[in-house]
Amino acid sequence: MSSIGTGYDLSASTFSPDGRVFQVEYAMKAVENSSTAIAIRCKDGVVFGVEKLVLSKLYEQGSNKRIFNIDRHVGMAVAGLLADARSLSEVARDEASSFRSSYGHDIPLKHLSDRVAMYVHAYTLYSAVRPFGCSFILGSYDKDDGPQLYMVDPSGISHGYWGCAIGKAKQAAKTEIEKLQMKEMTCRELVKEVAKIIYIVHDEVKDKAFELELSWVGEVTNGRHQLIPEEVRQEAEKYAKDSLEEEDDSDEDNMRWHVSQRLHSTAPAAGESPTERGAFRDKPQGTMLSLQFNHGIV
Amino acid sequence: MEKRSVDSRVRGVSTGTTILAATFDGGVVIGSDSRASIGGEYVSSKTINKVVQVHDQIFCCMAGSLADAQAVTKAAKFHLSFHSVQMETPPLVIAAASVLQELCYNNKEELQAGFITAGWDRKKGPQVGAGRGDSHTGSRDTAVQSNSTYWRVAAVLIPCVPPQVYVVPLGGMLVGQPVTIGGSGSTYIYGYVDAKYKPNMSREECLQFATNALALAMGRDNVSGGVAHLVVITETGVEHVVVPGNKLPKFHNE
Repeated sequence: MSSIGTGYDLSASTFSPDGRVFQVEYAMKAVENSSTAIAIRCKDGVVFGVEKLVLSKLYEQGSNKRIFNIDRHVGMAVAGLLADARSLSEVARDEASSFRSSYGHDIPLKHLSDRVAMYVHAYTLYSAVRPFGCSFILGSYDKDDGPQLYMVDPSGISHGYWGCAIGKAKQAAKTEIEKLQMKEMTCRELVKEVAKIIYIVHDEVKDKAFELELSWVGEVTNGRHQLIPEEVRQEAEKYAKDSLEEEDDSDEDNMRWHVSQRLHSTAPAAGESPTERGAFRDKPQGTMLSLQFNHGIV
Repeated sequence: MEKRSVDSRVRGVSTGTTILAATFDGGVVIGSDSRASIGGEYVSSKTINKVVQVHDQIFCCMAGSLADAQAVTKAAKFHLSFHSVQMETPPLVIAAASVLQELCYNNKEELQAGFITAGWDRKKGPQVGAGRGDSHTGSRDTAVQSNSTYWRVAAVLIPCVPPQVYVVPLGGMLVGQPVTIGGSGSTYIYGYVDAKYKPNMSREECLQFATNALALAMGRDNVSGGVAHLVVITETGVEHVVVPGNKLPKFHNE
């Protein structure tokens, strides 16, 4: 349920009586309003996919990128307030390049994610500033340490992942990601799956046009983070669109039914028809927020 | 600020010295003599150890002003210990050499110290680096880590095994090589090192090579002498070998 922290939510320097910092939770709500970004780590690299909603036909194609290069070997996909995310990408770039300057080698991803997370966390301490309203996913590949994937949220927590999703359809995306055996896949196989997941979670009714941003870093790119080459992208999009057409409506309904199962604690009786689409769409804000509740506190 | 005299004589106690480091198959040997002198005339100590441990498996040799070198290695040791705790892993040898490089370069006006860094890390295995620095003599060929694409230093790629020794000279340059020598005594053994060093020697061959080189240098350089301190660093650990003066190899003219 959406919780209003009356009186205790005016600044990030105030706790509520039940021990929550509402400003940080509100920042996470800002991320929920943004379109989905996912990233999956496989055995030889990391693939990023972002559902970039196109709000106007007048936009130049490829503008307002949501995937950034932090260092040659590190990529970052963001969700939330884009301006906040851009400023954080500069922070991450500074960290990475100053590390390289001081120590002579690539920054290990865990260290970079810890440093940027510390920076994000600092903005949750004071009333004079507001927390960053974006989450981001960092991924890298190193031939000795292998692929790495970390996600940082507005509270300043960072976790390592095999697959993660942020943004409005993150629950649906997570369900799809969990079905994959990513530890055995290669980047080339994974690109197609990532494209498919983005197409699946994209809501055609509410959001019309979108651009699929895809990038990868891994053995296939020699450790450099790059946008997916054109022919791979076309293959991936084609696979995604074909898979969507193959699935029946009922199949999609089943998926939504499963997802709404996770959101609602009561299970319908066997044989009952899938929950109406409307039910799923009306609920997400509230239920996903209640799942968000635990995020910053753990 | 003290003026540096043209012939690079150091005021105060100096480690007019011979230092070297060389990689072999599976490790590195880093070594030095043990004489500290003042003004090139008075031996102030016959038994100092110029091989300093900056981390578990990374060592440095000091050259130049002893005070400066000790101050820098102390700072580097602190820095690396903090860095390794933050990283939750031992530092890379290149990181240790870079730390020394920052210290030498940013303080180059005040310092007169150069270093050789050698050690073992899990990424590149055994490595040696020299930070030799004579800002007023010509710098040596700047070399680049042969399999790294990230150095922006104008590079002459040295066709050799991946450089595993890092040299950080007085001026704060950073060079990676498989074998490197430094200090005033090193000038007498360039020929020997060039002729006798082979990559991928065995541990015993490399130790013998290092001992011979040090002995030859100490035999000709008046400000190098005493015992030969050698440290052998491999994946499994670190071993100190001290060769007293009377046990050093003797050559035809002695």
